[in-house]
Amino acid sequence: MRRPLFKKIKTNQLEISEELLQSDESVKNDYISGNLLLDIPKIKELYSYPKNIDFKVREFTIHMMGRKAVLFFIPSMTETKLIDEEIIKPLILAAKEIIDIPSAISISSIKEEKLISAAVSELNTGATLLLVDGLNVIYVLNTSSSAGRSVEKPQNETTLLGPKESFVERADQNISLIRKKIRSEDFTVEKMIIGGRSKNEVYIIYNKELAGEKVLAEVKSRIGAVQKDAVQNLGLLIQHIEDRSTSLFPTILQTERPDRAASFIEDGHVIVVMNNSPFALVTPATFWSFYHSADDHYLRFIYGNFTRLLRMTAMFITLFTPSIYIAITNYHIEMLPADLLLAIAGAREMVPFPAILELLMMEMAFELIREAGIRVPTPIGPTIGIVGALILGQAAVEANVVSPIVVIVVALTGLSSFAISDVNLNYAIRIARFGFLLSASLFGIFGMVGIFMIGLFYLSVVKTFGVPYLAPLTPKYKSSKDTLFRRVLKNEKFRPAFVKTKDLTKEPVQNE
Amino acid sequence: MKIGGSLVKVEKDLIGIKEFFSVIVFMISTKATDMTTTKLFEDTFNAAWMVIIGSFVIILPSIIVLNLVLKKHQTKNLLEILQLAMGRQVAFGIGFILFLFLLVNTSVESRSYADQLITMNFPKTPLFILYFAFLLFCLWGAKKGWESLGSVAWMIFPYVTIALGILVFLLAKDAYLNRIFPLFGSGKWEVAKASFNYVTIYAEAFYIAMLYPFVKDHKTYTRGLFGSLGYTVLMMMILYLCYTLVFDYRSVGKITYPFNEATRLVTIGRVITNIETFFLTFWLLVIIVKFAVYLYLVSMLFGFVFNIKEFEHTLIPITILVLLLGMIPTNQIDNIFIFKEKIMMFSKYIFLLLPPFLWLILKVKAVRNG
Repeated sequence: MRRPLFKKIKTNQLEISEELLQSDESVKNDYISGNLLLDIPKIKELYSYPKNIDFKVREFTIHMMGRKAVLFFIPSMTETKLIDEEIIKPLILAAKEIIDIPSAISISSIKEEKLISAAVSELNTGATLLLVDGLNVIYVLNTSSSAGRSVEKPQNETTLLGPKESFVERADQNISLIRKKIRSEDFTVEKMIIGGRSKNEVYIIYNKELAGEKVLAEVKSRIGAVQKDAVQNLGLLIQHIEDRSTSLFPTILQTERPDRAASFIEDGHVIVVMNNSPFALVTPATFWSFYHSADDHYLRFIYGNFTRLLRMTAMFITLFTPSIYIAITNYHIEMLPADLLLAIAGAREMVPFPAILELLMMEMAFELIREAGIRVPTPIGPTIGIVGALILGQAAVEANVVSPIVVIVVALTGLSSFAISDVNLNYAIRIARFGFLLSASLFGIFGMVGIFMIGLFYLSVVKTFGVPYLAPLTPKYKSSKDTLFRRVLKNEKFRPAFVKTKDLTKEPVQNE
Repeated sequence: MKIGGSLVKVEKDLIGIKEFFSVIVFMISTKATDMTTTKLFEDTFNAAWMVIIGSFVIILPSIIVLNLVLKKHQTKNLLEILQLAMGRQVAFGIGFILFLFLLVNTSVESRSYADQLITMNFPKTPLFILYFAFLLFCLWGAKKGWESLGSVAWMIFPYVTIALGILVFLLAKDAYLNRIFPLFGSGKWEVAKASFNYVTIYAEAFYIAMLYPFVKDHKTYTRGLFGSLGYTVLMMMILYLCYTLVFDYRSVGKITYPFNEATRLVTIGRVITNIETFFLTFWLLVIIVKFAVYLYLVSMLFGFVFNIKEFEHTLIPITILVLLLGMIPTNQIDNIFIFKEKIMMFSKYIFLLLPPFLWLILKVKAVRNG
C-alpha cells in the first residue's frame, strides 16, 4: 500500500527522453489481454529477454484444456524444483479435464492479477507468473526462494541463558522468528516499499493492541519520506530515519536477537525488519535500551543486576580512566598517596613525552589494533591482537616511549570497553572518551565535569521518535523502573509509558 | 478521549516536582559552600547556622504571600502579574531593577566561584580562561532550555546527595559537640541583625517565580518550592554546623573557604588522605547547573523587560556581559566585600516588600472592580 507521503519520491523526474518514458510506462500499465501472442513479447521486452539470462520463459500446452500456456520466472530467486514438480507436471500430465487453473496446481499461494505492473513486481520478488491463452488473468504463484544462510547463533549479543538464535538476511524468516514468540492475533506486520528503483521491502512489526499510535505513525511517515532510489538494508535505512544524523549517540536500537525484538514488541515498541539485514530496528530506543542486554532479565534478579553493575562500571572506566589519570597526575597530585605518586613518577622518569601525548599515542594504537582486528581475515585475527597488545606494549615500555602505568590504563580502558555490548553505544563511548581526555589535559577535573555536563545537557534534549532519550528517568514516566538496575520480575508490572502504549499494565488476562 | 487525556502528556517545557525541587535546592544550598559562608562566619562566628534559620523565618511570609498571588493567576509568571497589578511602566521599572540586581549578582557570584576554584584547586590556570570555560559550560546548559536544566538537576541530585552525606559522615570524626558554644556566637542581637541582612540567601525563591508557568501545576510548584526550601535550610544548617563543630569558635571566622577546607580535612583510612577532588567533582556538577539556571533567568528577565519573546536568543550576549562584568573586580575581596555587600544591602528590601505590596494592590483592585 502506498501512502501519500511516499509519493513524494516521484516528484523529481529524471531526465529521460519522453518516448522512452512513455513506452516503458505504457507496457507496465497495460492490462493483460488474454492473447499470448500479444502478452508474451511485452513481458519479454520488459526483461530484455534473450539478452538477460536471469529470466526464463517456459512455453507449453495444457492438453486437458487445449490451450497454450507460458511461465515466466527469475531462476536465481525461485525454487525451480517447485516449478517442475508442482506447476508444470500437474498441468502437462493432468488426466482429467482442467476447468480452472488453481485447482490443477499444487502450490500453496496463488494470486490473480490483471495489471502487468502488479504482476511484474511480484515476479521481481521471486514469484512465477502463469499466463494461459484465452484467459485474461495472470496467475502469480509463490515459488520464491533466494540464497541465504540458515538461522545461526548471535554474533554480537551473546547471552548465557537466552535463546541461541539470531536474525538472518531474510525478512520472512526474521518475522517468523519473532512471531513464534508472540502467538497472538494482534501481532501485525505491515509492508512498505521504498527505493523508487530497487523497490526494497520494509516490514513494520508491532502489536496493534499495544503499540503507541504516535510512534507508529511517526515510523511509517519517516520511512515513507525516504528519498532515495535504493535503500538496500537496515544499516542504511537507519541513517535515513533517525532523529539526529550527526549525533554522537544512537537513537535507534539494532538488535540481532529475535527474543529481544519480541520483548520490545510486547512493551509497545515498533520493530522494523528488512531483507538483507541480519538484525531488526527497535523504535523508539531510549538510552537505557542500549545499556541493557538480553541476559539482564534471563539471569536471576541479583545476578542480572550484578552484570548491570559491571557494565555500568565498565562504561565509567572506559569513559573516565584515561582522563582521570591525566587530571590527577597533572592537576590534582595530592589525591595520590605518596608511595603511589613516587611509583608513577619513577616509572615516568625515562619517558620523554608529556603524559597526555603518551596516553593519546597508546589509545590510538589500541583503537588501531581493534579496528584492524575487525577487518583482518578471521584466521589471523587473534594473531593481530596478540602481536599488537603484547609485543607492541612490551616493546614500547622497554624502549621508554611510554610508561608501564599508561599501558595499564589503556589496557583497562580497552578491556572495559568490550563489556559494553551494544555496537553503537560502544562507538559513542569510545569516541567521547577522547573528548574527556583532551578536556582533562586542559582543565583537570574541572574540564572533565564540564564536558560531562555538556553531554548530560545534550542527552536531556535528544528525542527518539518523539520520546525523550533519558525517559523514564527524566522526565518521569510511569514504567517498571528498568533503567540502571532492574526490579524483581514480579514487580515489573508496567509497560514504559513513554512509548504511549495503549495498555499500560502487564496484568495477566488468565492463565489456562 | 480517555487516552488523549490521561496518558499522552503535554511535554513542552513543563517540569515535574523532582526537577523543580532539585533546581531550587542546588541554587540555594550552594551558598553553604561559597563566600557567603565566609561573610556569615565573620559576622556571627559559630552562630551562623542560626542565621540560616533566622533569615528563612524572616523571609517566609513574603514567599507565602507570593505563592498566594501566583495561585490566583495560574498561567502568568511573576513579571506578568506585576504588569497586571501596576501597569506597564512600573512593571518595567521594577523588572529592570530586578534584572540589574540579578545580572550583577550573577557576575559577582560566578566570579567568586571562579576565584574560589583558582585559589583552592587550579592555582596555575589563568582566571579569564577558567572563567570563560566555566561560563561556556553554563551557557551550553542554559541554551538547552528550562526542561533540560530541570532534568539534569534531577539526574545528578541523588549522587550529589550521597557525596554530601559522605562528607558530613567523614567530618563527624573531627567534630566536637561542645564547639557549638557559645551558642549565640557574637551575641543575640548580632544574630538577629545578620538574619535580617542575609535574607537574600533565599532570593532565588523569588526569581524562580518567573518560571511559574513552566512548572506542571500549582500543587507541584508549591510542594516543590516549600519542600526544597525546607530541605535546603536543613542541609545548609547541617553544613554550617559541621564547619562550626570542626573548626571551632573564632577560628571558623578566619577561614576563607570553609567548604574546601573541610573537604581537605577528611580522610578515608590512613592511605587515602586527600579526597577533595572527589567532592570537587560533585560541587562542580552542582554549580554548573546553578549558573546555567542563573543565566537562563537573567536572559528571561531581559526578554521580559525589553519585550523579546524569544529570549533564549539573548543568552549569548547576556553571558558575554556577565563575563565582562565579572572580570571588573580586581580580586575576591573587592568582589565580595564591596559589590556583593551592596547588592545584598539593597535587594533585600525588594524581596521582603514586593510580595505583600503586590498582594495588597491586587486585593484593592479586586475589591474596586467588585
